[in-house]
Amino acid sequence: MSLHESDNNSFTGDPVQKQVMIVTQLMKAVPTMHSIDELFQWLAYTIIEHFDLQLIQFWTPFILMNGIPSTHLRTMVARNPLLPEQLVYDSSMIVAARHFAQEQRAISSQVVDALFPPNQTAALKHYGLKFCTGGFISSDVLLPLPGNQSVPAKGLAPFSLAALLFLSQRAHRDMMPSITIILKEAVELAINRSLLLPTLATEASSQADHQLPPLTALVLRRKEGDHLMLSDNPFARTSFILDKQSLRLYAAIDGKKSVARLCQSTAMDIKSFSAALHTLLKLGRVEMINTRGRVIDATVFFPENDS
Amino acid sequence: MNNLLLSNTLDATTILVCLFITARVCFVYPKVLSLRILVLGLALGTITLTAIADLVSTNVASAAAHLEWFLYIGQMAAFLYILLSLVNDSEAYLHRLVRSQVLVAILLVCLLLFSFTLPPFPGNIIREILGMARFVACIGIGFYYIFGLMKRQTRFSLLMAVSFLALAIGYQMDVQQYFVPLYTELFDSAGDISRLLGFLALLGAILVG
Repeated sequence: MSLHESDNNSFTGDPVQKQVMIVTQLMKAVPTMHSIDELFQWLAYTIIEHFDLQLIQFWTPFILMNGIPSTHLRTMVARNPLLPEQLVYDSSMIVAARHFAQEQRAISSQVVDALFPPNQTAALKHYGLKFCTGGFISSDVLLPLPGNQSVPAKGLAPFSLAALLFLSQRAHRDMMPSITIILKEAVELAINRSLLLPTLATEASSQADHQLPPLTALVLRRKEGDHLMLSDNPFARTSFILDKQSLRLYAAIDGKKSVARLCQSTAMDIKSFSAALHTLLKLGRVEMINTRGRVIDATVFFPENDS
Repeated sequence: MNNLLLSNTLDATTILVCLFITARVCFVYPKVLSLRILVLGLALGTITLTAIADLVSTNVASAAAHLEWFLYIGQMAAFLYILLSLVNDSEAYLHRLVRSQVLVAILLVCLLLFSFTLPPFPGNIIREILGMARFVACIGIGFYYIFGLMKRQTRFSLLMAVSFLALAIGYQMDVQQYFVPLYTELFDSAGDISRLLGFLALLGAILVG
């Protein structure tokens, strides 16, 4: 479980930029994946490489034979192949993972001394694992067992994931929120690719159709304004897309590219992109659709939008 | 006002109005990127050519019979494309529509260029059918704007509705003259006035709508 080869496209930049880049790569990679573990491995390698981590662990729940839920290590990738596995996979690490899972939120970067016993701390620091941070995501779907194991009598555990990340220096304050967004996007894509299984309840209510996908996974589609040429004069100044960024974004929209890909192809930062998108939504010139082709209500993402 | 003067006034007004709107489309399109106004621009560009052809045919008797094909088919196609641009607002549909309109515009230019090799209309039936097609397209557009007006009252939709209904009435009058030969001149003049008002209302919609 070590990082044997460097992933491509290693780059510098702020965490939000990295997030957009990884999500873009992820969307291309997911269609070729056949199991959730393949996706976890891909995420672990990509995140560790791009965010300059030393170690990443994904902890997920499973149901014991007696029906009691527990947590186990599903995926682990270390930058240093010499890092001893017994050092990073022991009882204190399980306690830390459970703590992160119980918190159910992103935990800010803290020194390992605050989480692990002194003797382990010294060893961790020796291998450059000086800071620890973590995140948690969950979804109303079921997590398949590793490999081709059959469904146990007690059933599959509902999906949740606690991520433990170790760094040699304190993490950027935007790093964990960005990683959490990547993980959420990954889960959404995994659901669409059926790498995660729907619960009976979600199947019955077709809840998947109503789940709100992350903004970056949505596809933008151009449209004529709701009233343009019918009741609104297209020659009036109010119908013009005056903002250059919005015009550039509108020109780049082809009805196939997701928000993440458009952000990349227009080379706009998140703030400018968001402002340009908001302008187009207000003019009624774009609509957002999910991977199933359903139109998503833009007011969910832009509450003040009056379109 | 005699019929010739009225006809020339109508043609001159049509040329000026349509040419102005077509030029305005060229100026506005990069700022709006709306395919509907592109369709409108191409359609009004075509109508400009038909008005020029009509002006020639009204004043050069030998050209009249040959140019009728271009005149009727060109106007029918132009109004039909405006109508089709309003029925659906999907991007893919409008892209297909613009592509086909460009192709049709090229064919119409060919029709114009080869006008003098074409025979005159074989009787009034073709003239009536093509004239009715212009009427149907204009009345369709007019109703679209009336429905739009009922949903959302704007000066633009009101003027557009008035414009296309006046054009529809004008084309209907034009067809009527072949059914009631006794009142040919009356229907012809009334039709010209109605269309004149229609194009002026269209200009008003673009300028003050």
